[in-house]
Amino acid sequence: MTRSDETLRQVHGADGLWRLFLISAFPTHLWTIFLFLIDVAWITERTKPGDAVGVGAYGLVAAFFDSLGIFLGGALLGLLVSPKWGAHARLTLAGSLVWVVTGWALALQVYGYFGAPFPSRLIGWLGGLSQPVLFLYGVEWILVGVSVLLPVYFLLRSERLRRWVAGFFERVSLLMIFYLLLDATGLIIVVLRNI
Amino acid sequence: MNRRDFLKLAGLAGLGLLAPRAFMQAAPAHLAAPKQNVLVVVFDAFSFRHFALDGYGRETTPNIDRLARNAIVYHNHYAASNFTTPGTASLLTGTMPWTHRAHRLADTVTGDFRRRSLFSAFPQHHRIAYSHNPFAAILLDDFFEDIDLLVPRKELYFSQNKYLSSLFPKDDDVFNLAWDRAIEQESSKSYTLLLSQLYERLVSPPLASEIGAAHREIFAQFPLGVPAVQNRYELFILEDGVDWLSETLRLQSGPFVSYAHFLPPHEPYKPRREFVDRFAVDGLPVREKPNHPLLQKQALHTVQELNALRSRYDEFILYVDAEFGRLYENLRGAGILENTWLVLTSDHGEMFERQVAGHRFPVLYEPLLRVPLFIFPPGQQGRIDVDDLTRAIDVLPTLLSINDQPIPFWAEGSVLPPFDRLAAGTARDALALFSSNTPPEAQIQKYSASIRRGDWKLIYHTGYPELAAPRIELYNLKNDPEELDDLYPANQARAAPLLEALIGQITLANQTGP
Repeated sequence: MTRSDETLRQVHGADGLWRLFLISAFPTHLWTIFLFLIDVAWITERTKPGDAVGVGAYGLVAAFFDSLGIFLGGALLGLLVSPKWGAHARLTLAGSLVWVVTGWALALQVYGYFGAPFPSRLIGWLGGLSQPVLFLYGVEWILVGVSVLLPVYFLLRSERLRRWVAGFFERVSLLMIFYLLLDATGLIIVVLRNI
Repeated sequence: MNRRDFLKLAGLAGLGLLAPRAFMQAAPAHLAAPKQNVLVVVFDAFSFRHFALDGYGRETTPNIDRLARNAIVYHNHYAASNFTTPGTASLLTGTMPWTHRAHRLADTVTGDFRRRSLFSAFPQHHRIAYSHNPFAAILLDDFFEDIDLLVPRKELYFSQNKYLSSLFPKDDDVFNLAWDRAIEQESSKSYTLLLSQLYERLVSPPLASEIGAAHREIFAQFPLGVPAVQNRYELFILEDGVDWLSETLRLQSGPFVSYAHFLPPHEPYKPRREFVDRFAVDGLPVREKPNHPLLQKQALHTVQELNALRSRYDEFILYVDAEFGRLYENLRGAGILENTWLVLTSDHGEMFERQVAGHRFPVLYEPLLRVPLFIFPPGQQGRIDVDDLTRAIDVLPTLLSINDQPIPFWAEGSVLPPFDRLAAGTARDALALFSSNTPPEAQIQKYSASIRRGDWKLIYHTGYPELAAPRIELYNLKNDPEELDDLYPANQARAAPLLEALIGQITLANQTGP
């Protein structure tokens, strides 16, 4: 075990790390399954049902590795949380931050998925500014900053909100275990397809 | 090994490494000794409607038109379906889709047909095959036992994603599709949230730069992008295919049968620099036609978009035409054409009308089905124009017949004019089938099928949830070549025998099974 692993364990605890993984893995799995279900008719129409299952299997394996990356980021974010907080509260806060970040990633993809064009009036207005790119970066930083700080603020202030979020993450973790079983099935399918 | 080395070696392999297998086979006593070569060149999604020879308003094929002065030109030649798998399988097996059963995009032919193809029909020839198109390559893999030199499709791509190329070689196509959906951001969405972002920002740009830097000269030749296959890294140029084919055939010392399936002018339409915008402002408008109930789910285009897409397609055809001209001159220069029957055709067409662009739709209009067929016999002087209806399934028996080879019992086509011995007035029906959801072992129930007999063409759609009842269309192509005026409601008696013949074929296929 490396020093960084030990640090993570000391801060989150083994159970905390496992729960944080489940919380971190949920959004990406939900998105993967959602997109695959939209895709499956398209894929089946173009290839064969067996190939569509194969695409889903590779997708789930990719989602698993994606989850590991997100989890690692979340665990490192958790190191920023004060040690004064109990493990439970730290997990709630780290999990919330992970969801905010993945929420932004999802928002970008949903925007791309629906292909909504940038309103032409807004583009025209931006074109009139002296530093439109700088302005856009500024707006982005403000939006991201607010979206991160607001949940932190409310979670710090409200014990009731912390309990509700913790309970919600508990239910999500249970569902995520089912998704992990799907991942394992996906991995088996990938192996079988490549033997 | 670099690309040029491979091209040279592939040619040598054809001669030295693999030839013994071909020539050591004992020839059946009843077969005439093979003397002449056969070369079938397929350009994917090549619609005959875009040929000036067919009255098209653009000079898209100046080289082919010129070379056709010494060829047989088939003006009413029909593919068996409107996309690669069934179209190519019919061309290669000489059977209709309900017989070979490769209905879906990545299907293979059923059972016996793995040993019933153009390649098995020429056992004494050295048999060489290549396809840019992954789905045609799947079919060629099916026939591998009868092919002496089967070049993997990626060998003629000058670039591919180095991170993917060797990860899952046994499941390459599905893995590549999954990679596109899970990691690539080309469609602005991907299954993964973090990996796709990291890949797009950290891996993809340097990879693209690396490919661009390594092939700067090629990229400079293609200002709209280099022709690509399944993803943005699988890049190829037709020039490499032509060079490889010319070199491989030049090194053959005995009779050969070669099948080369090149992807252009299949989309994405990426013409070479000198052809870009050649047709941008020539004022040839897309004919406005009504949409079709079965096309509502497709990506619908405005007339302006269709005009732009069609112009690019036509410019891509110019590229195909130029490279075919170069191939022809290479072969003539090497003396190969003195003893080779050269066939130029396609697996299906392409359409830019009724608000859609492309192919593989549940409709069977002329631009999707009518494909070029040119046969360049050795020593041919003068052009022969054939206006009879001819079909993709007729190519195989024709090539066998002109080589004095027996036509196998399983071939469903007949020898093409002017080589046929059909009685005067005997005409073929040209049929086509689109049933892209039907597994090989299943009954054909949801499908579109067409039959052309003389000037009349009937199209039949059944099994679609969008249609309350089967839909029948009837056109008189002599009076209405654009298929604008559906005559079925007023001419049901005329449609009846066509409908009976069409449904009879499908019913028979369903009764006999695969």
